[in-house]
Amino acid sequence: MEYRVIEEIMNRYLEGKSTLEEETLLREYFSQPGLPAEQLEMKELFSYFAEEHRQAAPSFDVSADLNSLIENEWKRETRSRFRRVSAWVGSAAALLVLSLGIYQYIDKPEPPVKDTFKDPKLAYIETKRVLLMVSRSMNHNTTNLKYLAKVDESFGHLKRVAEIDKIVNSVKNK
Amino acid sequence: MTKEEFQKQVIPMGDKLYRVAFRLLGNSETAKDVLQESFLKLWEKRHELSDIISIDAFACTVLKNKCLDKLRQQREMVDIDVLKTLGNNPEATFDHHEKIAEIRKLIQMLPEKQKMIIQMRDIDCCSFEEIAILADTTANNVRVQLCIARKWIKEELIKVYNYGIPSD
Repeated sequence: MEYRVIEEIMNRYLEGKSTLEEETLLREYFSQPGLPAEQLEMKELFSYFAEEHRQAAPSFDVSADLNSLIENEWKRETRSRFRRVSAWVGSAAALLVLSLGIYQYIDKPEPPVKDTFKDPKLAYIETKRVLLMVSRSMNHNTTNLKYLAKVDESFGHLKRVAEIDKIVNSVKNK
Repeated sequence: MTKEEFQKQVIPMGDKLYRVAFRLLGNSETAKDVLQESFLKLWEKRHELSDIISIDAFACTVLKNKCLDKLRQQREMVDIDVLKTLGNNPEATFDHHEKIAEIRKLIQMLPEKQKMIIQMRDIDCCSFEEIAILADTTANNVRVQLCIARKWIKEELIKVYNYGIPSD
């Protein structure tokens, strides 16, 4: 690089007006061997800066470390977002199933009566048979009911006791 | 800002931010912790980062605040002017070269603020705006302080070299 350009940048450097790019150029310039003797003190200064820069370098791969940090954080967020969404979807589905169940239960229409016989004549015969069967079972054991008539008869005899009571009363009055 | 954009635009700042944290805290393990905490904070704010004009300056502010938090935790001095600097640790920067040792001595003689500014600029390659945030001053003042410090070092070095060169 031209000495004049470097001198110009050097002046800007000393004024605190050089850019980071210009300062990189200075660092590169002063790192090369065979510089004029009058530039030696600046060469030493820049080699000191380079040395300090190396010394302060991180002992780990910063980019890899931060990338894995962010990847883990991203995975964690994605997992928790998925869990949150699944919880919502799950609750919504459960609510839907429950509502459908209740709706079905409340609004269930009575099943219509189905004809079991196609031929009306046959249906009549069958109905009659069933009714006869019912009446037969109802008449069954009615013979035992005749004892109830006897109780009734006994009450008839008691009427005579009432008549005695009437006669006793009339005697009292007299 | 998507994950890919974050990895492309923000993560490359990690190296410089680590250096700044190391300079402010003077300890590599703590610097690494603070760096990670700062990046988690930046990641949380990634949706707002696209609207921020200077992501570098924002990242610097986040890092500085995390460093100050860490120092408060450690019950050390909070004032940024008296933060530990790398140069304060002679073992870490020990150099056998006599001239380099001489320069180190000169830098140590600078006022605290000038010392920090020149280290952040000429060693850590921070921008004027970043240094302004970290040193609680303006970019213009950073330039002025740099000018004073650089000129003084140059003059002192010339003196050293002149004394060193045997006169015929």
